[in-house]
Amino acid sequence: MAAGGGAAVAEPLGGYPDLPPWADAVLDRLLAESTDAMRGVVVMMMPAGDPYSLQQGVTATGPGPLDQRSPEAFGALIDRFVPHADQLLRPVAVALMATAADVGDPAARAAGGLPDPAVTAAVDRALGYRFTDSTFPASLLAAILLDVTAVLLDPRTVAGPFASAFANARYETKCRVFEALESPLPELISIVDEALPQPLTGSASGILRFFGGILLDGSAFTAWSEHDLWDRRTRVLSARPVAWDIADYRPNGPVDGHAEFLGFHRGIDSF
Amino acid sequence: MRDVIVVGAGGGGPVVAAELAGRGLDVLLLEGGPRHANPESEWSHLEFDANDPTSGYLRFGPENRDKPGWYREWSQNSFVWELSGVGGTTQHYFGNCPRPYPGVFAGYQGVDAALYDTAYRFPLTYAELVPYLEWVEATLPIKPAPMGRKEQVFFQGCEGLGLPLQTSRDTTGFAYRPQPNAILHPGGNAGRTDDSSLLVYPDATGCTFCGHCFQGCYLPLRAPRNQLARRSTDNSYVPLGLAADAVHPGGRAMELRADSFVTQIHHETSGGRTRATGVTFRDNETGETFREDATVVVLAAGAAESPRLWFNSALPNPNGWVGRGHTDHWFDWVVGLFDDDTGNSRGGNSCARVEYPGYGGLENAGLTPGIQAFTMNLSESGIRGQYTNGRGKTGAWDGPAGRLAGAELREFMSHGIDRMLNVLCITDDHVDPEQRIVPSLFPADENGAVAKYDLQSRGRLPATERNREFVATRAAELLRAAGARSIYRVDWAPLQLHVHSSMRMGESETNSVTRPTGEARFVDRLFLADNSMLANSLGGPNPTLTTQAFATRTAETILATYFGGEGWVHTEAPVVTTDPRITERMVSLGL
Repeated sequence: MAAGGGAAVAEPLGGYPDLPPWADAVLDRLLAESTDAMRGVVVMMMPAGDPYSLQQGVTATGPGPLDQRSPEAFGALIDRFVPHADQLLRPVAVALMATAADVGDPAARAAGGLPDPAVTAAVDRALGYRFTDSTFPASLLAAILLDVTAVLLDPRTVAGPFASAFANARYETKCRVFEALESPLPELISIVDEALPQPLTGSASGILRFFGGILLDGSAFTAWSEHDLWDRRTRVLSARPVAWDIADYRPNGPVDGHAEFLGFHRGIDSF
Repeated sequence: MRDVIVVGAGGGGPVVAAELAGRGLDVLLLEGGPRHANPESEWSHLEFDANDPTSGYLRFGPENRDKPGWYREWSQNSFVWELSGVGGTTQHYFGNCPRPYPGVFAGYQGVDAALYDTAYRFPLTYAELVPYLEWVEATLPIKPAPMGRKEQVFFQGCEGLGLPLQTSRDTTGFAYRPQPNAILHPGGNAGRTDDSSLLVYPDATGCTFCGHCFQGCYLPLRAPRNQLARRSTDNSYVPLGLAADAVHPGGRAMELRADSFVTQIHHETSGGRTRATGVTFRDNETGETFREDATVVVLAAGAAESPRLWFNSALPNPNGWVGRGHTDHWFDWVVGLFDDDTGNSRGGNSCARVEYPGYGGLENAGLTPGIQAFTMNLSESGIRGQYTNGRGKTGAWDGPAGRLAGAELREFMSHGIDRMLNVLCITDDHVDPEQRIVPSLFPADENGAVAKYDLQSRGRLPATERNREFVATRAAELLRAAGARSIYRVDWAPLQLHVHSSMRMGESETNSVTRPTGEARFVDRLFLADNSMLANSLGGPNPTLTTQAFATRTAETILATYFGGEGWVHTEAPVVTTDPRITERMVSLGL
């Protein structure tokens, strides 16, 4: 297996020349993969009747998180969570993509030659170009991490209806993926450690455990909350959160109080 | 040149600031995060809006929510929920204010003495601290919590276990009780209606039982700031400090400056001794930096930010204990599902507790759906039925410990948010030098190198392991006795809400950063006044009251040592923070 990758290439003076068309296609494919992977995570926390829930083999009747763009809200949260992703996470993403191509991941294969070092460098350059004016999205790295792990554990996940191998996986395989992040697979540790810049080399297992934790508890928090349905500027909910109906929460909407005061236990109201 | 500069307006800093302002000193209170001056218009009852750790209004970040939050590294499965802003993490605390267990103080000779963290006791006796605890209890004020449905269910479980009822403030043995809470009792319409038009001050006073402590308290509606129900410091000690001249003869209102992040504590060394001389802080909005000098600097930035600022200021650390010995009560989470209403989402979020001195304690915790689902997935034990991550313990709960995901989580949540009862298991975790706050190797932000939480959830000390299993088992038994049909243990990954002892006070100069007086061991004129100075994890009780008691004591020490004054706690009566003179000041300030 090729470890590939290496440190990100610094932007040359005068900037990069125009990207080849294939690089744009790869990036579009990666972003689609990221969206699909986040959907694949969120339906683990709130399965419903959507295609992603059907694909994992764990469903529930009625509306779910995809009806209210919960995966997009969760991806945005992950992106905000990790700053400096350009310096730290982009090289890891490139290294993982090399592995992804090596094991047949559909998005990475679109690069048409990875892990050839020249193509790897071009992808790294393309990532830098695409995200020149914005922070490199940590959700993109998370998606690649999930997909590489899914393919390592079950090569059949490269085939399926979605751009993300993780989203193509059955629920049981998805759980194996998280197990591999929480008790990191040696292959993953090796890839990430080799890509991390100094002085973080050797930190891979901690970073993998961080992602293993935050992807699950963060997506649960997002999917079961009002997330982006609330516009904090207009202070209006665009729709009643699906979660509130499922959990039978505040049937008449948020309130400022409840007729809940039942006195003091055994009359103790002072010390 | 100020008399005193206080760094951090969280749970402890405003106490020192308000008390010294009351004595007429020129006090500047600096807060790195926002001043939520009008929470009724800035806040909501919504979970993500409040507690999204990256852009919620209760995040660790600057006032402008369009700007990114500040980063803190944790390279393990864990979660940090400490806040910036006036009030600090008390902005979303539950107001629980139990006294510490006497067993963690010097001189304790009870029959259970060996159970406590005997290597890292407080360097004073419990009796010496009691007058300061009483002072804070009267100032906030603290009273036994009222009861809602979830407390009824919890107490039913306690009585089913045969636990005695504790009516005193001091804990002397296993017992259950209403929380000693810093939440004003309901009055008028409060607790008696869900009609917002009737929950307006003064027709409603105190807690309205809205169920949203974790989203910040801004009720009753239209109440002056010091009359809001929950006594986070932005509603209690900060108003007291802003009205210091109105309530104390010779007092002088403190100056509060928010959105101003302290990046340096200045110091000088002469005659072999180092002393603090002032600070530099940065305006978050403009980026402009300011330097102010002071006779005394008080460091109260929080259990992670205080060691961070120490490191970034290149202050001395000769024994290597800055940041070490961090304790977090190594929480666990045990949840019962019931067939009947539990009132989980209604009322003060936590109004009942059980004391297990020597081991820790339990408290109920009412939640809303997003946070509830989060709590069911913060685990070191994998996903139930799928993998255990090398743990997945079995015991008095049903099945293995671990996350609820997939169909199991959906089914659990669809049972109804008000058919659940959560029990927070609070571990008496003993001080371990390897649990620590260190400078992160990630790139620095605009305020300097960021803090890293270097925590282990495996290989904790044997006493800590023992205590956690003890309280988790009792939690499951309590829920069973209360009538739960199913009981889940989640085996939480480290959740950073109660955070302490990373700059611990101690008798020995070999393992402490803070002297018994509250002054830094290696820097004169620098005092510690947040949870970081606690000597240990208190045996399990929630830390805010104890920190505030020590902060009061530290204020006395500062006045006596550097300004020629005398203490007041043993000779005067405290001013309660609901005092009408403070209310009048809040109204005049538009707060």
